[in-house]
Amino acid sequence: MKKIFAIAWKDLLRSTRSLFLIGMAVVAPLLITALMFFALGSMESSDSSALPQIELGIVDSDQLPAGASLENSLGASLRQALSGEDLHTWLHLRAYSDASAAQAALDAQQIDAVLYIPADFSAQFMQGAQPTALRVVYDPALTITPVILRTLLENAMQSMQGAQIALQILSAQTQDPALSAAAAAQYADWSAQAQSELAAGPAWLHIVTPASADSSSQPSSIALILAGQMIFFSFFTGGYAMLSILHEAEEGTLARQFTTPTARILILSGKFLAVLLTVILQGAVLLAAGRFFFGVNWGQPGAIALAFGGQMIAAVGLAVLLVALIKTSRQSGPVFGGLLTAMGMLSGLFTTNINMPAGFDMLSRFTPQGWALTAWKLALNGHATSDLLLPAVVLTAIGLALFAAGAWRFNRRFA
Amino acid sequence: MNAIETFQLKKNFGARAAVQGIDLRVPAGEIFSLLGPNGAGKSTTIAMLSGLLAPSGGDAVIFGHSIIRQTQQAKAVLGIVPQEIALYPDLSARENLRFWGQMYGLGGKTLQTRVDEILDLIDLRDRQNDLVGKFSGGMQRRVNIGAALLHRPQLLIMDEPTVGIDPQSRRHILDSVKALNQQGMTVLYTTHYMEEAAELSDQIAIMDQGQIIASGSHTQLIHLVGGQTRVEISLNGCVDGLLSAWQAMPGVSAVNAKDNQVSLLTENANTLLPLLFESTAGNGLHITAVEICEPNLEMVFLHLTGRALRD
Repeated sequence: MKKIFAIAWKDLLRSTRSLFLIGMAVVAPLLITALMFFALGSMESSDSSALPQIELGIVDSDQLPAGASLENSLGASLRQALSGEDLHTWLHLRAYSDASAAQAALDAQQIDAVLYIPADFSAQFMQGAQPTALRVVYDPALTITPVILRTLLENAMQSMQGAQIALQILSAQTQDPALSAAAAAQYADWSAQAQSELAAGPAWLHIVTPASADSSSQPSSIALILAGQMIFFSFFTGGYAMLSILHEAEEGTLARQFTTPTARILILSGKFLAVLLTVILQGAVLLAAGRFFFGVNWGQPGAIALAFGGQMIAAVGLAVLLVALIKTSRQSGPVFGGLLTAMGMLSGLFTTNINMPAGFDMLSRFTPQGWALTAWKLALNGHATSDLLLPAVVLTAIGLALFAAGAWRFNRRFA
Repeated sequence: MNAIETFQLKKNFGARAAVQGIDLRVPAGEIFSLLGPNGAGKSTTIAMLSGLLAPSGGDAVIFGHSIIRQTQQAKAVLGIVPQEIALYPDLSARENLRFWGQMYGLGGKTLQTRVDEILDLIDLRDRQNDLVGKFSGGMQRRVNIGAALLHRPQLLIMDEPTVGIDPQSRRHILDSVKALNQQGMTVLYTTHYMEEAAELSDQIAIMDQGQIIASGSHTQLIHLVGGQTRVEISLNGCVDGLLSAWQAMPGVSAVNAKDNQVSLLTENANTLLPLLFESTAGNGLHITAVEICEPNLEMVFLHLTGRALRD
């Protein structure tokens, strides 16, 4: 047993001194994840559903005409609608007494836009004529703000025009100015209320967010990417670490070990243990780095242990078989570079954030990497440990089967 | 007691017989050299003795342990110095020695002490923590030998340990082999350098094409060619008219000619040379070069096989 540990320790020591192995085992997955992290971070921030904060200056020159039956001018109603409680979180109004002051503030970029309400706005409205146009001047550098303001004002104006038509019909039919005035006042109150609810949505419509879509329990994009990278490089690291047996065969140190009073099965066991320890060490570093650098919540401890353990066993098993099948270390390039990459692609390790077709998901079931990804997705989704039993058992079974085949072949080769 | 006894030891690689049933006796406490050209079967023989290759037939016993039935016990008394450097270049000299010591079952304080002893023996104590990959070829050879000595083997097998190294390191290795032997260690040494075999060995076995073609002490082997000196002569013209006269000269046992060169075997070159010059001048020719070769293992090999040792 001491000899097994001596061989494993020697191999582990050599692995930690291999810049290539450290680069591929730890640096590459973290680097790729970091690049994705920054790329996705900028995408996510620009894709945010939060509305931009809009600073809107208002120059309200509107005056109620003499004898008007309305209590407030329509300009005032419009201002009231725009300063509603729900809009207040993103639309901030600043009143200016004259156009020059508002323009100066706009030029100084203290505000994003200015809404000019003309002096005869209510008068024109009351006469039933086409109201004088509202005028909006905005910072030309802005893209979203003008669209939002335009939508808000169009809605407000359409409501007012509807009310204007209704009032004209009412006045024509009742011939009672007092009734018309009362209706106009009620309409003004309703309109203000309607405008303030514009952003919040009507009271009769409730949008319910399903629990499963709660962002706090969903794995972040970066967690999935890191999981994919960790799985891919875990299998690569296992293969590369196992390759040391071919390097040793070529360098003569394996033959020299065979001349010592050490059974060959012990020598092979030491090599296998070294691969397992290397893969565990790599995985532990990536898990810790994911937690501390990217804030990844890997899931419940039991679930993590099952996903991690299954992945380790499968990675070692595949490594042993692959290296047992190749004859020289020169053949390792196409095998590791080609086969493991192809398996990684089939398993969806590089497309963790994309919903792939059902057939593709089915293909991933034929690779240990695919099962490892399934296990990690469950763990990252916060599933209970018991939910990971199936993928963990499958990974272990695959790993042990591959290991047995590889070990048998090694034993034959070095017998 | 014999350190090694082989009984019709054979190794076939497919249809090719690399070792054709050899019977060796290596007495304990001696330096025994296997001498032969490349491909003679020396390394294959050693690979079988060290348990690296399974024999195709026969057996060998090392200090009483059969290499077939008691493989691990036989290996435990062996120290192997492979022909190529078999070390880890990315480990230090001390780390390498520790590992190989562990492979021979050493551990704890014993291992520590043995590693220190070996570092002193190979004169690398001050470089013990440097990576072996940064050592010169000679230094690597020394660590390569040291790794085989950690468990104080009864039998040290060295497979051409001086190939491709500088004269200083070569001298160091040869002196080390002698020193180890003086401490009681049996050494089986393979080489294709006859000078090394001659200098080191108590006994020498000459191998060729998988067979032992001669064995004995250096003196005994030399006597196979009659202890005669070889005289190589180059002339400025055709030698055909001289050969019968030279063959009849006193003390000459053999004459071979090729082109303008003649090779003679004689018991006394000093008395022969004046006669050769005189005879040549009488035939209107001139001797352009003379070389006198004292009897050596090269001549023995040539005598036995008709080929040079380095062919």
